Amino acid sequence: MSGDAEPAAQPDLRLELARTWSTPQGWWGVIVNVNHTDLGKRFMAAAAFYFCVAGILSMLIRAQLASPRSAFVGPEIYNQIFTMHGTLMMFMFAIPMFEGLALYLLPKMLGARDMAFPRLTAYGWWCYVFGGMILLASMLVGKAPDGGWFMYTPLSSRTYTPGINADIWLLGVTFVEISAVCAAVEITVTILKLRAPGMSLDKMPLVAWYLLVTALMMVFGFPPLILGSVLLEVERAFGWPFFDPARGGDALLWQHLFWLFGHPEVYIIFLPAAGVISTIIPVMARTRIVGYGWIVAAIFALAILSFGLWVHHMFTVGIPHMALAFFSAASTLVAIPTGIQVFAWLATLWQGRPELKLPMLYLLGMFVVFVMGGLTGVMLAVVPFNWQAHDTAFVTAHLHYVLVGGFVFPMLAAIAYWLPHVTGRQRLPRLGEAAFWLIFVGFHATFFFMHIVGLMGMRRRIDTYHAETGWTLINALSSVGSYVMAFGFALFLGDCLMQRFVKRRAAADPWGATTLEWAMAIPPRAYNFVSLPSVRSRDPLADEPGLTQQLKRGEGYLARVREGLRETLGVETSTGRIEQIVVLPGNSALPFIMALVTGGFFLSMLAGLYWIAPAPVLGVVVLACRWAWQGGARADVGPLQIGRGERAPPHPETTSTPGWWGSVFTLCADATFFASLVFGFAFLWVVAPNWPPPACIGSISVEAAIGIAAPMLAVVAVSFARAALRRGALARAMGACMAAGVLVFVAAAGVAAIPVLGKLPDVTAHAYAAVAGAMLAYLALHLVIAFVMLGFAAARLRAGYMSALRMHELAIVEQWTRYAAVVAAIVLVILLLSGACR
Amino acid sequence: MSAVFALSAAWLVWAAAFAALYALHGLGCAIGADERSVGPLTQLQVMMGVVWIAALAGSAGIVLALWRGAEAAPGGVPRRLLRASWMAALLAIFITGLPLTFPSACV
Repeated sequence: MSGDAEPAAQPDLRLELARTWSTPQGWWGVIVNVNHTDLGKRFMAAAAFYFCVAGILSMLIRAQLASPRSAFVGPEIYNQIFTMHGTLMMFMFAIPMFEGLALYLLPKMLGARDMAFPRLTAYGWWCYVFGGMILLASMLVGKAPDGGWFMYTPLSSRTYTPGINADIWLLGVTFVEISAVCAAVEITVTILKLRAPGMSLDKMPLVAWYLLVTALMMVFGFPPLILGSVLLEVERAFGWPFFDPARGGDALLWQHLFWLFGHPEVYIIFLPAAGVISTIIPVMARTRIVGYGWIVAAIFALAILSFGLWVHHMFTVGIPHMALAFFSAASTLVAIPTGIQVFAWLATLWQGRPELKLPMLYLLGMFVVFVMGGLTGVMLAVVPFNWQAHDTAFVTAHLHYVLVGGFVFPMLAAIAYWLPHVTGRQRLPRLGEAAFWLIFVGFHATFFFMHIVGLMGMRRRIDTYHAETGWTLINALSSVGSYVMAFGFALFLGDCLMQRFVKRRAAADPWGATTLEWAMAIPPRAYNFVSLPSVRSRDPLADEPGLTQQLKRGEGYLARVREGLRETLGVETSTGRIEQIVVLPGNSALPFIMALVTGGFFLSMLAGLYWIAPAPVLGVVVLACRWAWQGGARADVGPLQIGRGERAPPHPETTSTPGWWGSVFTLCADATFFASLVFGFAFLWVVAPNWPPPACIGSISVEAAIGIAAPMLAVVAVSFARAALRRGALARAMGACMAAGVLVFVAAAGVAAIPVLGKLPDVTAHAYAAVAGAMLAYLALHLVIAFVMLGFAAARLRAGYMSALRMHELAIVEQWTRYAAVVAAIVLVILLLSGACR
Repeated sequence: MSAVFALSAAWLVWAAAFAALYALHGLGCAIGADERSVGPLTQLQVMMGVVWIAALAGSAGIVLALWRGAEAAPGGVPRRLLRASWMAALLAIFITGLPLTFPSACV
């Protein structure tokens, strides 16, 4: 990157931008594409596909339950059907649909040209595809998971599910979760760093707040599930008894880990939809949102409260009454921030002049359905009622009211609202309205009656019932309703697909919206904006009517292509002050290959070929190094012209880079995983039966001293390397990195000595040794990661990718070395203290 | 990020208090702290009560400080919003801790 002179304008700017940001045609283009618009559309299309598959499964459920003693399918197949219905809806539809919407919209709404980590977007996409293929293939061969979408142990343990069904769920879902965590990190960093200049946090569109909070919730909410899945798979594969009460484990640990994820998950699904609602309502009401600040405050309250509710899914498992009361109180409190949002939306409608266009129709449907679901939620938060209704069709009805009202209706509104943006075309009149009424009426016919049959005692997930129960008429009505609803969804899909054939051009801003995604050509180009905007208000298109044309004329920032590089602007997180030019990577097959190799690991585990599994892991490490090697610069260039007479340095020459922030949030997810493991240890120790264990960990004072001291010295060495680099002493910095690497290696050897010298008791004998083994494995993994990163840093120093100006890569390596040192100290101190376990 | 921290701080205090109460409850029941008396209360009630009152007092102190201080906007967040957040979190800490008044803790 060089050449600082700023030409007045590039006459062929659009052509240059198109050439720089384009993707090759054909299958190669499909594989190497990293563009957020294309990948967002792919996520949404795939999620819609899974919605259809899961919807068909739900129709099979209703066919089975339409009449008593039905012989439509047997119990084995029925178990697979309802398990896959829930699993696909939660993991393959809801989360990916919102991810797709976020990937597609965020850079456009924030005034950027792409997401912060385009290759990570693509990697997440391919993990989602391959994980989904595992789940779908299992259905086709009749080996689908059959233990319910929350996979409770001991039902899902090897004893009661000896086949491969549960492994498919554990490995397939974990594979897909990688995609979700990638998206969470990427969304967080994009919102914090890649906004338009001037867009301080308080000027962000509300949907960005919602997505920021949702992504942060995913960073902290998904790791407990990933941990639970890993532990259960290790128990099934190798016999480590984390959940087996006979050997010091506890089935309740699974429930805690699952619902630590599962309850925030409800809000992870709801909040993006609420962001959509907050975006569409003011446009439909031709006014501005009422209570912007209150809504933002309510989102944070809702997000954090949602992490304190998980036990309300476990009210009947025998937890003491006082603990139940804590969670009951928290569960009722969560209605308050939700209420604030609902009242803000109503006030916005009251203040404006609402138009009953199709998106508004779906939002009105949302109000009715979601509020009803919320009210039954408050009923279920009350412990005595919960005891009566637990595991009945009442709960099934409640969760569908919440999820369909809180997610599906808003998503249908979102599709109706943004489809002209995606296709550049108008829909056919009245088809969407007809679809709405079929869905709305069909939904209530299906699920309202389920409340009643649930209160009459019908359990959820039963495959048949006797006519004497008196449930026949209600179930028949529910089944008819479900088919009416299915017709509605089919009609909606048909309405969307018709845009391919009926080519009526949409207006540039068909709804009169005020957010930046409408300040571009529709359908959008790969580069989004010809030039990047400067933002002075929350409603830029309303407050600066000529903005769209200015940007198209190239009168904004970065109205040039510099050496064929994909550039966008990075800002200071709070104020939106310009901080850096972020140079994004171009098309690459690496994400595809890396997802393929990652899939190799999961498939080898699934097939029981455990001896092969290390090979793909090694492959991922090699590919990750290759991935990281491709970025950066070998020379300092200083601040460059960005237009409007301003200058900014390229991101490698700054400290607060997207990569640095991405590393911070990845570590947050990692630390949550670790904290969940420590919680598991404490939980089993305090609560599980059959403790104390038959044998404790042996004397590990020497190993612990080495394992704690060596990483700490490594941290000191890395700090020394940074100081040397700041002074321009490259050789010293390199030497310090290598010394740190050696120290980390010594620590890893010390840790490995504990099991090798037989100081760790038999990990299959008791949960104590199993969790201790898991903690040691986690520690060893992080020491290896730090070792690889330190070696990588030394190589980058040698190759000239770092200087006194370009230090951010070393800062990231320092973060991970410090983290490894902290983990080493915590794990080894815990193990030292637990040496007296008897 | 200061705005994000400012907006979440009140609820993070609630979360910390909530987690501490739940953890103490589990631990206390496991070690039999509900069977050891400290005056008219049990050892467990005293431990949990201290945490609850400390969280209430700390939050109340911050609410007062936000009420009395200058009309600055920490992290760019309007002060009235922060006041409302802290008051709501204070109320939430109070309500979620009310079960401490139950006569039995581990049944």
